[in-house]
Amino acid sequence: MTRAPGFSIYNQDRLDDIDFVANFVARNKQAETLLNGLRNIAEGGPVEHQILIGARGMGKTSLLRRLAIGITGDPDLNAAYIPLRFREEQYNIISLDVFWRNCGESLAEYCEQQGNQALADQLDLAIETPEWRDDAKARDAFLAACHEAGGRPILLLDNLDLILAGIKREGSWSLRNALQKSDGPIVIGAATQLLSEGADRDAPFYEFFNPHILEPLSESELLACLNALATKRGIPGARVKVILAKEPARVRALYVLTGGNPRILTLIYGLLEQADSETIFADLETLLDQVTPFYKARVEEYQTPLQRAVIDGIALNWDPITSGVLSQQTGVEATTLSPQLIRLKRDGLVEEVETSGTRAGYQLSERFLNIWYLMRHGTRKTKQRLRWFTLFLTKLFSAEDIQRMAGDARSGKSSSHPFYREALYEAYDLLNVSCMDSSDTDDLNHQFGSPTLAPSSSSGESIDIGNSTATKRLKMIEVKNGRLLKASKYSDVLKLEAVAFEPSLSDPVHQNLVARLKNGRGIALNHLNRPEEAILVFDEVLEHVSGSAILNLQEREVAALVNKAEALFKLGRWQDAVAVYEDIVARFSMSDSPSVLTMLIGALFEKGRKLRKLKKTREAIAAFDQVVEHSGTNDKGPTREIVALALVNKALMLSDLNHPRDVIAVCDEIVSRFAASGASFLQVRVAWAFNQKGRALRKLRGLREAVASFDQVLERFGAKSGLALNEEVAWALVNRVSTLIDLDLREDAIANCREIVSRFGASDVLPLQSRVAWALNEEGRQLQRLGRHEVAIPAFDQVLQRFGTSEGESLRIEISIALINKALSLVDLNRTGEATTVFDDVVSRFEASDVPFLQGQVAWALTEKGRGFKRLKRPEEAIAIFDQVLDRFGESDALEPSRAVAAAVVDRASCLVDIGEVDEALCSLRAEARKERSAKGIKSAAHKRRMALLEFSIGWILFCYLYDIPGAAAAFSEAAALEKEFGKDSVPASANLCWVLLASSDLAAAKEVFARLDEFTGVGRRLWDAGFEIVADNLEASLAHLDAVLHVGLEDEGFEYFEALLWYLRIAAERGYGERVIAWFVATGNADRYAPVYGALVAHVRGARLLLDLNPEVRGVARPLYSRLSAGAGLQEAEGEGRKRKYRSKR
Amino acid sequence: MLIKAHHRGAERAELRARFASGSSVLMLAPRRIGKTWLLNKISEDLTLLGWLCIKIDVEGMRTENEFLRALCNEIEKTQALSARVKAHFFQRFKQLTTHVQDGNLYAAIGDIDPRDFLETLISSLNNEEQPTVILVDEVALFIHELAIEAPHQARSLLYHLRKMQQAFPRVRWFLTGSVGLDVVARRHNMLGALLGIDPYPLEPFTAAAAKSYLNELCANGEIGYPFSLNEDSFEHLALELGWLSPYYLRQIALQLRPTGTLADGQVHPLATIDDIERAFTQLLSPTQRLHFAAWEEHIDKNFNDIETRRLRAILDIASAEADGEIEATILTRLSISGEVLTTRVLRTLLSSLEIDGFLQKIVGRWCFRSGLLRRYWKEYMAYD
Repeated sequence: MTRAPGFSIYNQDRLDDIDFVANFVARNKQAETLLNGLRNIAEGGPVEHQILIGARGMGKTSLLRRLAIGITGDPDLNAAYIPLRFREEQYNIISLDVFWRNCGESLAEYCEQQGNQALADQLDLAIETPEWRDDAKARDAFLAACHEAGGRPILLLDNLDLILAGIKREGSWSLRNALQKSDGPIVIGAATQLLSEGADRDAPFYEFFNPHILEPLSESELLACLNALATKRGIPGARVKVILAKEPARVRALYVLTGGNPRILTLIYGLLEQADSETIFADLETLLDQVTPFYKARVEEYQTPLQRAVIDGIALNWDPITSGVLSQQTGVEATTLSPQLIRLKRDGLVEEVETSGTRAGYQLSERFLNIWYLMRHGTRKTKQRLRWFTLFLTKLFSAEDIQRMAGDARSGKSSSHPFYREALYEAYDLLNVSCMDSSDTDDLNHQFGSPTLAPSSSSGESIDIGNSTATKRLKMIEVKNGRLLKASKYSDVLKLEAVAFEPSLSDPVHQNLVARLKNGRGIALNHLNRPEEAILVFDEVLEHVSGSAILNLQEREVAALVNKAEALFKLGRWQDAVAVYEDIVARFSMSDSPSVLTMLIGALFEKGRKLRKLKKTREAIAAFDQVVEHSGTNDKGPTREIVALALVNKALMLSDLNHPRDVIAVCDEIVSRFAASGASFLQVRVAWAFNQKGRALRKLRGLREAVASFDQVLERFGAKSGLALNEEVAWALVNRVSTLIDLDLREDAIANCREIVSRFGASDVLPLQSRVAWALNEEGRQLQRLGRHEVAIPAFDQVLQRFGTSEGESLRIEISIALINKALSLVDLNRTGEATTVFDDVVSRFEASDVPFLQGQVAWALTEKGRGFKRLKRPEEAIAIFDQVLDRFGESDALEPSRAVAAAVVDRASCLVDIGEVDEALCSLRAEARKERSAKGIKSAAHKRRMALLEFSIGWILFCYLYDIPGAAAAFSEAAALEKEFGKDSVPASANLCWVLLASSDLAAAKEVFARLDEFTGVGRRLWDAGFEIVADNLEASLAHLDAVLHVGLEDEGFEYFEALLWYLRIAAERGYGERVIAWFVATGNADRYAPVYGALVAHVRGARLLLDLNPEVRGVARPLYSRLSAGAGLQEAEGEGRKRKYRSKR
Repeated sequence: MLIKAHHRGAERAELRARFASGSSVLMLAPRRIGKTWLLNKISEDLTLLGWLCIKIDVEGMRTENEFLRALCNEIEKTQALSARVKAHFFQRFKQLTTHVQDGNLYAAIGDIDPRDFLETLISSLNNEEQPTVILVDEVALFIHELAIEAPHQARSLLYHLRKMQQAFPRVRWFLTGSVGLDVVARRHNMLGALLGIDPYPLEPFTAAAAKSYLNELCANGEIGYPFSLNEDSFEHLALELGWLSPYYLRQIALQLRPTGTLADGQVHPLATIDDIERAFTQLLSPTQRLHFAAWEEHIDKNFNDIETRRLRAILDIASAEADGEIEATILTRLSISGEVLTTRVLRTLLSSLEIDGFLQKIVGRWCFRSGLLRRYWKEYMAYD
């Protein structure tokens, strides 16, 4: 799109074809149907002549032009047909020959446009000849000219009824004959009313034209058209798309006021694109200004005072008015009014409608004309009525667009589900911890070698045993033993003994070597899962070397004991293993030998590790403390590293226990001990300690101190190389980002994210790549929070570009997060089609994965896709998508998919309610709640949250749609109790429970529940006060509170109370105060200010038929309110009768 | 015993099977089609099978209490049943024993909430050894009348009936109506109450049933001038009548004066096509208008002013020709006469006329179902 198309409201011919087609959005379906009809005729199908019927502004003339463009733009149609357009009003047609001359002129114009100037000139001359004054000759001449021009004529005739009236009956018969010829013209006409000739059996055109009635646009059609216009407009349209996504209330209100008139559609679009109005009323004023010339002319067609009085009386009443009331108002006798009303009905200005009484009512047919009339000619009071109505629409639709179901009750405008966000954070925590764990082991094994390995002959001290052949042989075997153990070739180690050595452990010369070999054998047996045999071997060694004063043998003793403990752990005899370690400590803690001490410390560390794995937290921490204690001031070599690791493990365990202050203390100790070291292993631990300290400070909400701690990592190690240190630096930046977010310094957080990318973006190492991907995702997320979706999307795209083909699990997780977030941004920008494509991409990429998180992503992608359809008010399609979620993941026990399933169940229920399938909605929610309740095991917070959401939703349906008070009370009570359990405030559930208790007249219980809700002051408080008073039968006091509420409006403190107002009114009516409240509404003027509510209340108290007495704009809004007020008295019909369908239960 | 073609054997068997399977049935059909006759036959059939049948006609009733009185009256007719029901009431409403002990069940109606009363009644019937069917004729009219007075009450009564169907499965309901109950229910927001009741449309006679019926009339001496029909004459009669309603078959038969010869094997003289035409003309004479009054009344009584006017206008248009008109023509002619309707409104009205037996749609054209009714309407009702 190189330039944005312009607009023209009244004169479509001012637009060129390109602009015209770009703006043509409302009647595309009809255009396609008609063009297909022409294709069918061209292929030999039967000829059908068409007529478009529609009131002014419905798009007839535009559709005719669109057909002309469609014919010339399609090669096949262009080869077969010549589309001929005419002036909109062919007033000159008084006979058939004139008609054919007009056709000739139109053909000449067409030829000129097509470059056939010769034929155009020829026609111009011919039309003036006498031949063209004879209708038969003119007809033949015209058809011959069409033949010469190379096509069959399509006559696009606006105001066809005027033309036929002009040519009269005789001409009509001739015309019919011409149209019935095999090569005759094809007519596609237009008229504001059905042709009377079409219904007269004796008339030439009886049942001749196939009518297409152009009805006003529905709300969803209007939305689709506005979206289409915005897309075609390119960059200027982007703003409108955002408005359509973010301010649906505004668009809905404009629809109610303008009634789906396509002519007004372009005005509304122009308003959204150009105007920066603050209120819908301001929008309305702008629209009305633009239609004034058009409507003014329309009304001024009626020039007599009587006609004007009738129109005035009907329009200013706004509601349907009977002839009797009109007569009273105008002072004109009903018998005199009657012919005027008939004339106005025939003209289509006025229509007759049903009222609650026996007499019909009259109202203006074009509803926006009525609105215009009210504003331009109404009294102050009538204008005020309209102003209040538009205000009401804003609040009502805003309230309805906020999700009423729990989970998003307060912040329905968030673009990503709260469950989803929490899952991400938990997932990141998990990734972080598990990463640390594995690196400990790797580093330990790498740097120190497993303490379970006996020191090889290349380290440690040994007795000089001389150089005999046996000795040499033993040494060789021992060396081989060591190598095989290092290579983990345990079976080969066992085979070595067969090669063996004759000296036994009793041989004092070779005792050390033999003990070493025996220990090696024991280690091999352990690794081969033969711990009982291993213990026997170790016991054999101990039997011979225990208590020896020889250093080598002491080392063998320690090794045997340590490995024996390992074997005992394998057998599950952890207490026996601990006893062995205690024995080591007891025996060797005072040793002078550094190697023995080193082995001791290694043994204690191993003890701590094993106990940690067994979740013996206290014992493990004690073991790590022993490591530190027995290391004393030994800060050299492997000892330091073991001590560092022991402190790291201790910190991790304290973090698991949620003792952040203790964690900080341990981290400080790591830093103080090892900060000065240049050894990379220790530097990594120091960096880790700063990171861990920062995380602990975050937990204690010492956010700035946390940042300072992370900064230490960057300052000290930011320029260092080495993978492990780089990872710590990356973690520091990641943690810093999270902390900045906590501090609401999002721009700084974004900058940090970019730093991660710039530092590590070129890395090909998986852990660093994961951080880079995370950073890009986080940058995108923060941009989303700042509402900068257009910029967020490229950040997510980078994740895909950089890592889209990666197979690493952590990267695939980040890819899935990027895709979901990108799609959510597209949704926010109202680029729903693209969002759907991205959601589908998530599904196709990850549906085969067995990683629970990725399965959850697939589930969320489908759920969000379904929500997209729900937002577009396409509930059946939404339900179909939610059904997919349930089919695929309904039986899953994994955390993430089950969260998405719960959300899908709730949203599916909401869609079912929208189409009137309330019972089915309830069944599905109950089935899901039963499934959750029966899940085995300890219930996590997430599980309880899902249960609370389900119970809230059940309560909502029972109360709002079925008025099942006991059921609703039970459900809301359950929801409130669950919400309290996991720490979330239970305001929505308890608040609704309070109303349910009032509905059951249990005032005391209601007050008790309300007493626990201390955060309501203004509107909310007063509405409850009104409720308490009405249940206590203090009507006057109750109405005083209600007056205060309605005076202020129904939104306060971030809550909206619209539903509560309906509940209050229902309770009042049930207690017999219906008529008095109605009278109060009228007396206080609230009947006008809250006209739809008042209308619904009257219908509820006096009968549904009273809705007919409201004007269509107010009635359309009042009807669903009435349905909610009367819920439970019987099943209510769905809005949109034709869509009812039975949905099978998914459980 | 062989059931005659016009004795609705197939319909009766099907309805018996439905009740036996536990269903309740709503039988809708236009007037004069034989609903009440069939309802009575079902009652006889089921009684023979050991069922308890309680039959009431609620046309003309306007209140729930009237409905309850009618039910009680029927129950009182069977002494043993009455005694058991009273005992049940005695147990339930101890404080109201006075009326019940005095043997006056329905005198207690005013003292007890009608819903409780009805529920207790049905509960007691549910306890009977035999299964029960309650046959209610013209229920749609009753609901319609009740809804005019008290829409909430009508709605809640229908839902209450539904609840009782579900709670007391041994008591089935056989409801009939000549106005579309679904139309009434939709108008008053009661559609949900009809879920769970099997709709059963009753069609006019088939050709075979019509012949059998006419033969029986002639054989039983119910006709002053009995006749026989050959294929041509029957076909002509069927074509002109359009809709083989037993009532109008009988009326035609009463007017027929056969002038044909006595064919071989026939007992009665042949009625020729001309004879049939004369019978039709006679039936359409001013003195016979009462036979068609119900149709006119149906429109006037069961729709509001605007709908009545529009429906009449549509019938005026459709009556002009036997093949009727397409929708667009009807819309056009209505708009010419000042009735500007949307397509949706027209279709709703046409649907009502179809359900109520006035019109049918054949190849896109809306025409009268009964040629006789069309001629009547054209003659007496339609404005030029």
